[in-house]
Amino acid sequence: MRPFWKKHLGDAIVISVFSVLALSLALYAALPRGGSSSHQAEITLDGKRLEKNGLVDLSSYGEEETYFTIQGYRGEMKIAVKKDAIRVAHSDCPSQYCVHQGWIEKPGRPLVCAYNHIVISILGEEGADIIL
Amino acid sequence: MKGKRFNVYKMTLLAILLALAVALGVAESFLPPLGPVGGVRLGLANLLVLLCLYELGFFEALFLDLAKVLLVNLLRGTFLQMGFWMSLAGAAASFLAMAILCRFRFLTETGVSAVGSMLHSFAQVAVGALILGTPSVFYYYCFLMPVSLVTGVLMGLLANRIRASKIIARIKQNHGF
Repeated sequence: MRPFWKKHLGDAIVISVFSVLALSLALYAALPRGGSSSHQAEITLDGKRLEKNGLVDLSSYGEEETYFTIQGYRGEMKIAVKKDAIRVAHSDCPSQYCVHQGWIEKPGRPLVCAYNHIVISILGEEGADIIL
Repeated sequence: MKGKRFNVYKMTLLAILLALAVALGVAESFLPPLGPVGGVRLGLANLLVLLCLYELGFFEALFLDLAKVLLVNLLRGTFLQMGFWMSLAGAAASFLAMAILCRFRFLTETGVSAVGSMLHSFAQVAVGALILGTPSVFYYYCFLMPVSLVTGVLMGLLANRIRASKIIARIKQNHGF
C-alpha cells in the first residue's frame, strides 16, 4: 500500500491550485473596492428593469432614509434609499438574506432576493483598490 | 437471484443509499447556511454519490444523484422553482466531472470531491445568473468557492476513509456484485 502522502499527492496539488484561486477570489470580494459609482441603482425582476423605480437616481436623495415598495415575483419588498446608498428594508421572502446584506454604495456587489427574483445593483465601473 | 447486472441486493443497497442521501439532503437544509447567500449547504449527500460512483458504478450513481435532487426538492416543496433548477444544474455538472475524474488513479476521492463540489456551486450560481438575468450574481461565487472547496475536501476524506474500511466492499462480496 502506498503511504498516505504518496496516495494523496495528486489531491494535494489539485487542492492547492484551487485554494490559491479561491483565496484570490475571496480577497477580491472582501477587500474594500474602488470603482466609480454612477450613483444610479438598477432594480431588475428576472433580468428586466422594473417600469417604475427600475432606475433609481441615488444622488437625488438626502441623508434621511426614504422608502418605496416594489413588487417582486412572489411578494413585496420595501426598499430604503438615502444619498448614494440603497438597501432592502423589508421583504416577504422566508430567508431574508436580502435584508441582511445591508446598504450597498458601490458597483460590483448586488442585492439579490432569489425568492422574488429581484436583483438590485449600482451601475458604474467596478474596480479594486489593489492591483496585483 | 444473483448476478452482476440485475441483482436484488444491489438494488436494495442503492435504495438505502438513496434514502440516506434524501434524508441528509433535507436535514442539512435546516442547518444555517454557510455563506451570505442561501443554499450554501454542507453537501453531505455528495459523500454518498461519491461512494456510489466508486463502488457501484456510473449509472447507479447517476440515478442516485438525479433522484436525490428530485426527491429533496419534492419534499421541500421547491420543485420546479429556481432552487430546483440550480440544484439540478449543479448536480449534473459536478457529477459529470466526478465521473470522469474518478477513473484517474492520480486523484483519490478527496480531490474528486473537491472539484465536484466547486463545480456544483459554480453551476448553481451560473443558473442563478441565467434565471435572474444578471451576471452580477457571480459575485457570490467569491464566497462560495472557498466554502465549496473545504466541504468538498471534507466529504472526500470521509469517503476515502469509508471506502478504506471496506464496509460496502464486504457487502458487495457477500452478495455477489
